[in-house]
Amino acid sequence: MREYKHKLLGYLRREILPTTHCPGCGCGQVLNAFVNAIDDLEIDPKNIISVTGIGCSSWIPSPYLKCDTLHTTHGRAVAFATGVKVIRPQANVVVIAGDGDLAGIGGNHLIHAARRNVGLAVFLVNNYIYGMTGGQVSPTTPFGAVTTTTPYSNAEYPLNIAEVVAAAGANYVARWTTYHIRKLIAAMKEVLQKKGFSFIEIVSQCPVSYGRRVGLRDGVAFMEYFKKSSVGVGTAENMSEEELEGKIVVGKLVERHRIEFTESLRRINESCQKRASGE
Amino acid sequence: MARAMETGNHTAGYALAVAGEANRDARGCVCGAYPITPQSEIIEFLRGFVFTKGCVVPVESEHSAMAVCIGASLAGARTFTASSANGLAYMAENIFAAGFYRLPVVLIAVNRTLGPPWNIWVDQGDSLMLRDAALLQFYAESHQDLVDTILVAFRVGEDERVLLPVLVALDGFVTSHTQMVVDLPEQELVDRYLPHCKIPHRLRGDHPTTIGGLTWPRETEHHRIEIQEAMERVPQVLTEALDEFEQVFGRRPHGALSAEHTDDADMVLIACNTMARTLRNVVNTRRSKGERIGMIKSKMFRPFPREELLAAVSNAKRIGVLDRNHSPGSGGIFWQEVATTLQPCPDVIVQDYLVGLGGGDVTPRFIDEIIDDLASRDKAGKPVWKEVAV
Ligand SMILES: Cc1ncc(C[n+]2csc(CCOP(=O)(O)OP(=O)(O)O)c2C)c(N)n1
Repeated sequence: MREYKHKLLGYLRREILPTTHCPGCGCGQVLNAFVNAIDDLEIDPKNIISVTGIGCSSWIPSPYLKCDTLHTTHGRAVAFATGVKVIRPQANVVVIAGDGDLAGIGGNHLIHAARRNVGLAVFLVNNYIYGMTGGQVSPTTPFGAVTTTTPYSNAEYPLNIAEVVAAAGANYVARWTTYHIRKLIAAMKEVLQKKGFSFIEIVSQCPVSYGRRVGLRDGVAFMEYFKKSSVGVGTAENMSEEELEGKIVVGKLVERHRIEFTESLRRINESCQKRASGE
Repeated sequence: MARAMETGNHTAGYALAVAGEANRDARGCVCGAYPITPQSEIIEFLRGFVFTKGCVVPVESEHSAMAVCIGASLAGARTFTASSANGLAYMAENIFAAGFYRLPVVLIAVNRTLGPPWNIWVDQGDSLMLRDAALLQFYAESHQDLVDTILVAFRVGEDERVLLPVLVALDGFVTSHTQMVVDLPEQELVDRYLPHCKIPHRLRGDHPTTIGGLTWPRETEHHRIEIQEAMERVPQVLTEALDEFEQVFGRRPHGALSAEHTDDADMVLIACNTMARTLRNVVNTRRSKGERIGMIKSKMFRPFPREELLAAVSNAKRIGVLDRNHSPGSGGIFWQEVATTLQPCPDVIVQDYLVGLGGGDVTPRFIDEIIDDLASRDKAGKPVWKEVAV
């Protein structure tokens, strides 16, 4: 029997596959998209440093992707990645983590790294829930949803994290879902080539810890839901807040060309050195 | 009493819920909640409980969970939360704050190994990391011990002679996720046992106060002395709380420690939590073969019960301490306390055994080996690492 070999399998640590993700989870799609993006761009994985937080989505690169990986504490991936970036400015420093991790417990780091415009590629996998700990309410859970910590109904409104990051000053912000896999790959490629803080909110699915409590029992149900609920940014511009209720606005939300943080540091340093040497 | 078959986490959740509910005719209760394995079912249980007066706030981090408790406690409520491992580490700043503010927040610690690298199994390094906070610490060996200790924790922490936060620890998975038959006391009994929570320095408009401003060294020293004095009053307050417990519930939980067969024992082993249960079986078996061996179940770690311990081991020549934790560069943390306590008895061998780190099983065979090792020693040595059973 001939062994089936996917052309991108070389990027992964085959010996530890399959992944620990549940059936129908979106994390595999995100990994697939990311590996496609680096393959298309012919980026050598030696030049990628992936930094993850804690949560199922932090297991997208860790330990499956064959590149340097720093699996950090919960919520702090962006701050760890800042440390890596300032000393390795040429490397592709990529952060992949969940909504709870990046928008909840680590929200402050996210906002400040965006404001600082550190040259990181940040992929926030938003499955509307704390997946790894068993489906508790997260900062992106919809109002009224039932979760293990909102057994009667969620009393809080969700955070529009992509808009928060855009407002904080990031150079690039987009939102796609796991249904829009080709657009997602294209956006990832843009991000990997972009200087400055670049951010994609990837709306993803957790059928096991979230979906089954809100009537979306498997991955396919989620794909249909994402397809039905998504509207492009252009269309969304002409819609009222009421019309946008329950919709997922997809596309590029912001693109700026502010100077990247390590570059800015380098320039200041250079001018100080010039001044010191009396030039 | 309602007899039930419950997991450790639901048992803890129940105890917190009825304690919170017992304050319904006063200023109610508040819990700041953030999930982490293996604690999450405690806060999930609490989120399902419908309080007459009070609420559980599902915040975005442990740091905020404790902050919510502090704010609510200063507003006069009965407060509690739960966490594990890195959650406790992240909460630590505000645990210290709760102690320094003198607020009786009850904190359940479901012991888990600190990361990275990540390991979800039991290890007491997380709660023991907090040993230098102004925080009482109790370790529960069973589900019944857990419920009872939590109720006692509110009683002692909220006593105006103490007014300090209290941590109650249980083993991750071994206790938190296993079921045992347990008496879950009914609300009306808990209402009788727990008086309304009174925070004398709570915020109130008629007497405006600023809490947590700047102090000089001398004031800081006084503040610390007051905390030390409060800690020194704990044994008395605890005894009263246990007496009252016995009257209301008809059983008496263990106090600061439980000394078993120590009167005639040359050799005494010390352990806490579920390790104490395994140790008890081994000790009983060996005694039945005629060995003069005893044990101490160590329950209260802060304040450390030095006098009770000295009295309990007065006939022992050899003491072995089982530590499911490790302080790098030193050894086990219980051992450090025991060795300090035993300073007046230089002839006694006090040997440390590091066991079950990172969740390894502490089996009867392990304990037998430890006893044999201790019996063969002519002096104490470096802490002994007992490898993980597989
Ligand atoms: C300081 C700290 N608190 C809590 C946890 C427990 N914890 C692990 S993952 C997680 C949330 C995961 O949710 P999210 O970031 O949305 O990722 P997902 O699993 O859904 O991909 C939590 C609360 C932890 N590891 N560290």
